[in-house]
Amino acid sequence: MNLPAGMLATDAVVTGIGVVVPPGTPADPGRPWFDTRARLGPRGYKYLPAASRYLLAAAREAMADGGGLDLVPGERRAATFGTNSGSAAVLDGMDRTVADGHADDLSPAMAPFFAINVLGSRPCAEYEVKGFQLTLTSPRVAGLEAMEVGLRALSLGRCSSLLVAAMEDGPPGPASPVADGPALPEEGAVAMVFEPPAAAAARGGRWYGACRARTAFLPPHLAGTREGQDRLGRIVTDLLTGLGADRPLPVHVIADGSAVGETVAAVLTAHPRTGPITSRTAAGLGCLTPMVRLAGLLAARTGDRLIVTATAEGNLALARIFDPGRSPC
Amino acid sequence: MTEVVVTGLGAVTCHGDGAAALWEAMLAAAARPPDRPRDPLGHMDLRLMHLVPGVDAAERAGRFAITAAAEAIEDAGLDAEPPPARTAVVVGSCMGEVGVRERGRGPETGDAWNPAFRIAARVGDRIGAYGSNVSVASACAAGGFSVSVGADMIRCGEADVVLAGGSDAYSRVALACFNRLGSVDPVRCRPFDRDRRGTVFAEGAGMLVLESARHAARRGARAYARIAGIGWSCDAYHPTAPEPSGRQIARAMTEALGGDARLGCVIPHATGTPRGDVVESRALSAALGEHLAEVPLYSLKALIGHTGGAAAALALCAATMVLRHRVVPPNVRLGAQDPECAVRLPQDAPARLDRPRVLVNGSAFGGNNAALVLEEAA
Repeated sequence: MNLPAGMLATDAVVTGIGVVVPPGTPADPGRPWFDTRARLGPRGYKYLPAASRYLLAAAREAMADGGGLDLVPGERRAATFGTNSGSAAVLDGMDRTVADGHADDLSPAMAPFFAINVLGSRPCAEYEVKGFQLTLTSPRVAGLEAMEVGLRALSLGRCSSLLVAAMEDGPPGPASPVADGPALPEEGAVAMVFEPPAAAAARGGRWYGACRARTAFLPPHLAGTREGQDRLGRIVTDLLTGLGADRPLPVHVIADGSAVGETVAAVLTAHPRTGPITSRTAAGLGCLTPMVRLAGLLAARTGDRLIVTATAEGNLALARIFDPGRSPC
Repeated sequence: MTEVVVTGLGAVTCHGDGAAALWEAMLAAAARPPDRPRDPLGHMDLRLMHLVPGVDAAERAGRFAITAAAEAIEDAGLDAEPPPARTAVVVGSCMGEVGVRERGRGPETGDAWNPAFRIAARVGDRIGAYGSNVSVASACAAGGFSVSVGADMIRCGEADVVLAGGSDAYSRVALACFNRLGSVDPVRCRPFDRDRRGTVFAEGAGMLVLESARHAARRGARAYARIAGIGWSCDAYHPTAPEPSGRQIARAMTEALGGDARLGCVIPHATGTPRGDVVESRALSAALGEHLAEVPLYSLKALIGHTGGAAAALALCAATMVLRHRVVPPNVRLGAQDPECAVRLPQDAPARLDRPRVLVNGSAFGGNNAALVLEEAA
């Protein structure tokens, strides 16, 4: 099997994509857009938080799109989910119920969702994901973080197929202004199924391309300092090496206007191993936007690309898309 | 594969700050009665939880994590200089820094976005670590997964040093939900006790410095323990209830054991919920077979309560100290052991660790299971 330049046999390929987000951009918080009955079915979803419904719908789309998650035994299937505000509205409602009334007024069916990882429980049960499920939650990078952690586990043999997804619902309350304009709450989910290319090829599956992700950190209190920029430059070099980016690639930036975000963008712009910044998207209040961007670029088969996101909290993530190569995608 | 060793520990529990305070409490084996958090809007019947003493702030979980991280770094001898270039931070938490988002518990943050899971970022900013900074939110197994993820980073050559662990603090919503689910014990946390009625949550943080053995040796650091095995699984069954056979819990343990079921000690997940303790006992029997009868269990939550996302990290700190001292502390005395939980729980006096190999379990809502085996470092 011929692999594109820089891609290794251990890199997993994306065989199915599901994107469930409000139509149009930016999102209009509060506008109904998700028809649970049409998307999921008539019964069994009343006590499922919105983020969990979005996740389930996106996972089903990714499977219908050709994702081979269920083509290996359940104990070899795994899922990694990223979210920041997936349960924010649920927790806010529960808090109001307890503060204004009593814990006895809580719905026992919804009570388990105080734990944010339970948002992923339903799709794991539906697809008998018994390998493992992990929920990652770093601000704004959690989707790419879920991809990094999941693909690392896959490369270590902890699973043979992997569902990576990000889901958000909120947060409740008004949008937060940032330098690039108002950052809006995010709603929806993005899901991708990863498999080893040999497995996908053996079953005659097609793929959109391979991905790798790497995360790092720029301590916010050092973001504006020479030390911070110097260290970040070396970190970015390491990250690009880890991504197999040995030549300049077009860069898509998702930024929140913070000092960390601006420093990361400046270091990338000046770095000899990155290409031009071809797009710049305002970050939302969650981890969904980078994953929507990633899914869009994969689906459009744009070839080699880098996606970068960095946050005021200091987290930064880079994702590399590899050209699909010979897949009949 | 790259060997991963533990070179530093930090702990914050209801028994105070410091791994030494935890070890002292383990040897004394005296359970404290739960505290009653001061929360005028916390309307629930059993507002019981073990609190970390001396901290009066809404942003508690981050503070605990930073305290534990600073201790672990100092313990590892890494405090004299900025952390090595390839230092990562992985923090597990069930609720994150949720306190400031609950009504009346912290300063109003207005319109500012205030993501709950920023504990790892606070630790990374405090210590100046530029490596990966990961937040794991796998509920009550988060600490076990976070240490596993940190070890995986080192094994894959992505980091030399990882500060990994977990932290959680009082959350009105979490405790109210456990009240609603009827899962709070009105007396104290009593794992494996015939009369147990649920768990009692607790605040706390546990942090471990993980290093590649080569990195530790190069700088002359002593290694307390090595990570000998990691196993993960998912029940794929129910949001709260463990799958009754415990098959996936046993599978995680079996994977971590790597073909050798002989152990010197087990620190189980054991929260005190009636069903959970029985299922884990069965899973232990399936994974350890005839060896279960010989191995002492040390039930940490009976002593410090259930620290949520910190639980497995604190259990790993405890396991490391068991290996270091070659002693299994006595369990907090049970009223009467549940006959359905056929496990060995020595309660009279500290015992010598017969085999320098300890299994730690962590399980969570959503059926997320992580098991790790620590061994004495060479």
